[in-house]
Amino acid sequence: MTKDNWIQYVLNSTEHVHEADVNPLLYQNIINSIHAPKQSTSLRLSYVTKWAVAASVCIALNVFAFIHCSTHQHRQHENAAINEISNSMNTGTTYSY
Amino acid sequence: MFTFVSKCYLLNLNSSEDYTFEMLFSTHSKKVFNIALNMLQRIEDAEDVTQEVFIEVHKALHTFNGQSQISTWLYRIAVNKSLDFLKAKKRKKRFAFITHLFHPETGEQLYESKTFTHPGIALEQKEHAKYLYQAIDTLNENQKTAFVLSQIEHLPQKEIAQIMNLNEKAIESLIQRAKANLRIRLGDIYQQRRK
Repeated sequence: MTKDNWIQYVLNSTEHVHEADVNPLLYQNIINSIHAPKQSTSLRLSYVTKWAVAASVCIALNVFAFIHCSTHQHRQHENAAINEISNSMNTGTTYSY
Repeated sequence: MFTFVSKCYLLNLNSSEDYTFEMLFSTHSKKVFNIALNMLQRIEDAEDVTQEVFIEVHKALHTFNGQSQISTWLYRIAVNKSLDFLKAKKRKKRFAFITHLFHPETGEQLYESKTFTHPGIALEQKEHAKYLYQAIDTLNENQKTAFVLSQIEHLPQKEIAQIMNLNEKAIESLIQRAKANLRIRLGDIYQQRRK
């Protein structure tokens, strides 16, 4: 069989697909699910989601800590500079910038 | 309750909620299951999606406005749920290596081999159909949906357009592009078989 004929033959195989039967237990499963009490959200979360949430919280905490520390350090430097300037004003020392 | 009863009347069904739902299930479950099966290419996944579709339908039956046929509404939910399922599966595969570290059994299941044989295909056609499904799986979402609904489920283009929320010309174009891509993919498979 040539390549083109084979491709056409495979494409035509869709004509031979008959509908598959549904599992006879499916209807009862659906009815049971509809009438079953709802699970809490935390139980319904998949493991992947739980890990993703945990990782996001961890990253957020790290970012917050980094920003907090750098702001705190920046303020300390600022305060030190202000103190130095006010001291120099009191003692009359001049600074060249 | 009035709207529900009037819709039941519209659907030519009994007013009892459970009976209506049972009728809907017995009339459309086979088509819904087969759409999901052709999209997902795994019986267990198709059963899960069919279950989700009918649970959703049970919840949302009162919101059905009767503007389209109830079958169109059901098949649209089936297509959307199947596409969501495929996206979720892709996401899980991406995280499978992490999952595998903590739950080796679960992680390994996600690396299953993809050779689907449709249960409704005659024995002599099974091998060819296997290559076809392999090729269909490489199509993008829209082309795959249009091809499955048109060429396998044999739904009219007008209904496919309503299901996919596109116009009929767009559906025709999607089917043509799907066929062209399938020819390319099947050509590759043909070469691989000859080696």
